[in-house]
Amino acid sequence: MPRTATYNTTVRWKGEHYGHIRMGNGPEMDFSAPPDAQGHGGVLTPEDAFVAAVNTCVMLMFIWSAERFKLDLVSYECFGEGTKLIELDRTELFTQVVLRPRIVVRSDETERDAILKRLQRAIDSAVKYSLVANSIKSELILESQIEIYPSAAKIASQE
Amino acid sequence: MLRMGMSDFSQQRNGDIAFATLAPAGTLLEVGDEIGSIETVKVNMSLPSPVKGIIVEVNSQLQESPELINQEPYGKGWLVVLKPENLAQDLGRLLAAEAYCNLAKQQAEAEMKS
Repeated sequence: MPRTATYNTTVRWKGEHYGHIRMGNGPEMDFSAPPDAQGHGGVLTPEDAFVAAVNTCVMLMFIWSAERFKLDLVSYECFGEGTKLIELDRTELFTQVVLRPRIVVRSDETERDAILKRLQRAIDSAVKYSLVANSIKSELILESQIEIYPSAAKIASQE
Repeated sequence: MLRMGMSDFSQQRNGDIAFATLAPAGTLLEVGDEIGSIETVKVNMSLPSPVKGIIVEVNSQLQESPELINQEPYGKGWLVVLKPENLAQDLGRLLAAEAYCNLAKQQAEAEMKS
């Protein structure tokens, strides 16, 4: 059983404070620093990429967990925010990443408590098994907002 | 009577358990027959019986709380109670706790090195 895997990206300076990144999985895009750090708006930044890595990884792990826990997932949307600390010596680090997922699942009224319990376990497993969440030294905080729709209800977004 | 469950090594190796499905009380199991199966966040796994016998009790708590297998594999996370039929013979083919523990340790160390 292989115990390691590798992933890659290639970056190239484009001049001024711009770069171009080619991801191992295919996408390519320009990037810069954020405007508050002598960079430019409208493009990927390392700061956004960091928060995005956590947010996307936890979401994908949650989707997998929800399938394994046999949840009838209606929607998942998550706002993620990283907090940067600037130390006295001007070094910087992300001390905290907060994820605020809004999760909607469908359930029979009679199974509501059991579904809620399974959903919480799926959320816990998503964080536990998230590669990126496991790889960062920032504190990861999940503030989940959960809604349960009755099984028979028509979902507005599906009408 | 034998109270059977997953080993701590096995439950740790296979991840958070989402569902445990067990054969009902009264089921006659030959060696290797399925006691039940578990579905974890990572894998689906069949649980073969190490001995021949009849299931006389099933841990009904696992229906609602399969995570007990992860939390207390040697306590509240037990699977079934079995009335053995050829215990002495079956035990002769099994490892004692210390030998199993050494084997698990060797397997874990081998995986960490590979």
